[in-house]
Amino acid sequence: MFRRSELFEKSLIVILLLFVFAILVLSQLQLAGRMLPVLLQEYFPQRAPAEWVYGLLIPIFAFDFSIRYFFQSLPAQHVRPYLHLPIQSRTLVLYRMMRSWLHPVNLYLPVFFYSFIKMTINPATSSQGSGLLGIVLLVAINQGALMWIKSFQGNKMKTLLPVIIILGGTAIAWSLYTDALMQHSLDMFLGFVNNNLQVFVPVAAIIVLLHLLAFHQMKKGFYQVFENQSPREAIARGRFPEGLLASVPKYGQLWLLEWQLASRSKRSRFNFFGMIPMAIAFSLFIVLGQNTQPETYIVIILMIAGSYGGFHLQNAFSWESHFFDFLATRDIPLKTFIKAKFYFYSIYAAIQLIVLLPFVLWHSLELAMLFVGLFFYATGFGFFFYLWTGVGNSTRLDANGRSSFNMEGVTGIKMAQVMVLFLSVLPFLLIGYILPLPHGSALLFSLTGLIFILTHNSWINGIVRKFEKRKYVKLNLYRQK
Amino acid sequence: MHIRIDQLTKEYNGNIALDIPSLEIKKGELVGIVGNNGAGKTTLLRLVLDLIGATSGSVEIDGEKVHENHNWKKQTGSFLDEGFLIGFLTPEEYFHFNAETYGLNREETEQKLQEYSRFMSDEILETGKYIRQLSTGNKQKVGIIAAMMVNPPLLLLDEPFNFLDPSSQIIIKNLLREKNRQTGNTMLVSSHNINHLADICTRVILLEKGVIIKDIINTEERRMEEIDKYFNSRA
Repeated sequence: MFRRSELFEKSLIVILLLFVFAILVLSQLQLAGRMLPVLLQEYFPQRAPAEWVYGLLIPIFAFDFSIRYFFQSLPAQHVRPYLHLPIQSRTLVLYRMMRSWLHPVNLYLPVFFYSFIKMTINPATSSQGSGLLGIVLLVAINQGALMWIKSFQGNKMKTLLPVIIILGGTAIAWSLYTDALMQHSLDMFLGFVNNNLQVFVPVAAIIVLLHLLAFHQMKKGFYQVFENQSPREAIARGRFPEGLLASVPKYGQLWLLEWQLASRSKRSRFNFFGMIPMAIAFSLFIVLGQNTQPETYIVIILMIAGSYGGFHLQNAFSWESHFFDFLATRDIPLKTFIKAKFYFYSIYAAIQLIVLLPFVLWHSLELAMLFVGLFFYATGFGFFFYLWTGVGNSTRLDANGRSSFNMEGVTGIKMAQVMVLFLSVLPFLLIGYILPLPHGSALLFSLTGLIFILTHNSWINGIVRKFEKRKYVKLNLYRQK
Repeated sequence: MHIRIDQLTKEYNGNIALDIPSLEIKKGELVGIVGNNGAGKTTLLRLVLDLIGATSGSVEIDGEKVHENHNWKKQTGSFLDEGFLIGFLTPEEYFHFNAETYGLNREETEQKLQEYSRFMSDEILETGKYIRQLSTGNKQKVGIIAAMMVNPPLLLLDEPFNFLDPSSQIIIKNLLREKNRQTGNTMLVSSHNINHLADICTRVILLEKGVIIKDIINTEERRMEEIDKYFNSRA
């Protein structure tokens, strides 16, 4: 009855990529667990690595809890299909709790500590297994607390207040009694590895209590799983920049529509407004990195090449698919529609570049030139690529629900599109490296990008023709989905 | 506006969904299309709006084939289903955006909307909701108003009475009849509701399995008796 997996919703390529990604992350955590004792020994030799980390368990788990609070929600989609069936509510609540336990956030600390304990606990004198069990129990406390707090759905005060108390209290207590709390933390862990029941029993009791409280509250608010299906949204009433966009002749109304699409849906808003903070984060990373070699920033370069508007454009014509029948029956020339989209995201990309450029320029002229080249490349070739492939793809994504990188529903083709654009910069970097020219890669990126920017009129015409040819098939597929 | 259909067929996987050798809808007619599920009503409307490609034949609006140019779009208002709504806009924003595509400014749009205030019954405007948050009935109203508010010379509505409460059904019925009489606009309305169509339409076309079974001029005297008889015999 409960066997249906959400993985059925994903394409095989995505499952494979997710699997590879998961293995990569887990191996990195394992490596971190092995490397940390060595690094701590080297840089902070005044204490033993074990004393550092086991003494910091309280802030570590407080941090873990804060991560959970923001990123781990109680499973609802998995339960909804069963609400109509004659299944006892307690069974469904237990199922919901079990699903919540399967969240990946429950995995990273045990994986990290597995190797850290191996490196720091002597199996001849203490039990490594009990130490790991202790860590799992602490994870269970956070999991139980999270489930309990999140089960007060719809009551923001009741969900937020305990978090403020827990995190605030921990922060204050830690700042006042750092040494004492570090010692308590260390003692607790020593209690675990020495199989001390006086430590295990209270921890287990807290876990049981939190799970019982969560069960009781989830059962009490059982029908909220239903009621919260369409939470009430606050209507955007900002005059800026909507008024400004609307006043622009010719493209104004379409820019306004694009803005509204990007800013009024959960996923698209996150992607759209994430661009500027991302540029700031890149800037800080580069300035703090103290390294002017472009190769060091290859990941950033790859991300930038795919990022300008790409988060939206990888869904080119997909989000609009929900109202393409409207667009197709109104007097909105497709060429104007696509051009408006191209200009809108080019301007947005330019803002991102303007934020980034002073930092990079101050740091290294070579890097600055490379980033400018990438701006031209991504806004020229990048947009062309996304729009062109967008015509061929009839996947229908919901901006407010399913969307790329929201792993529930990303398709292999969409993932592949992004990967192709990410990887397309590699030959440029290679050729630029071989060319006997200063700033070879930057010049190549700029040249390619500028060619596409300057010829945008003709390739947009090509996209329109391609779209018109495929129009009936595409609209039909949209409707079927 | 004048619609002319010539040798129009639409097939899906070898099955004929629509086969209309010839059909003319003259300017000013209010034509009802009636038929059971799968009769081809929506297919016909989609073909007229060039939303699906015909397997053969053509649809002309005012002498121009719909798939060859877009001139008809400025003259046509339509609402078939939710694919005509923009969920992330409020109804006000949607009406303005829609009206803008027909060249109406804000004041004109506000003025036009007033004609539909009874139909909206305080449930559409200034509710602080996006269209995606409205009930199905209210979404239906938004789509119908957007199609009608620009007074298009050609209006196409698919199942406009669906999801509407009884009062709203009567209001929209009267609005369609009045608009047709006042403006002389051509209207094509599909519905399962024979009574509503009998009340307002000047002509009723009965579709069955993609074929026109009857094409009746609906006068006071005849009052759709033929259509009634047809469905009674199949019930």
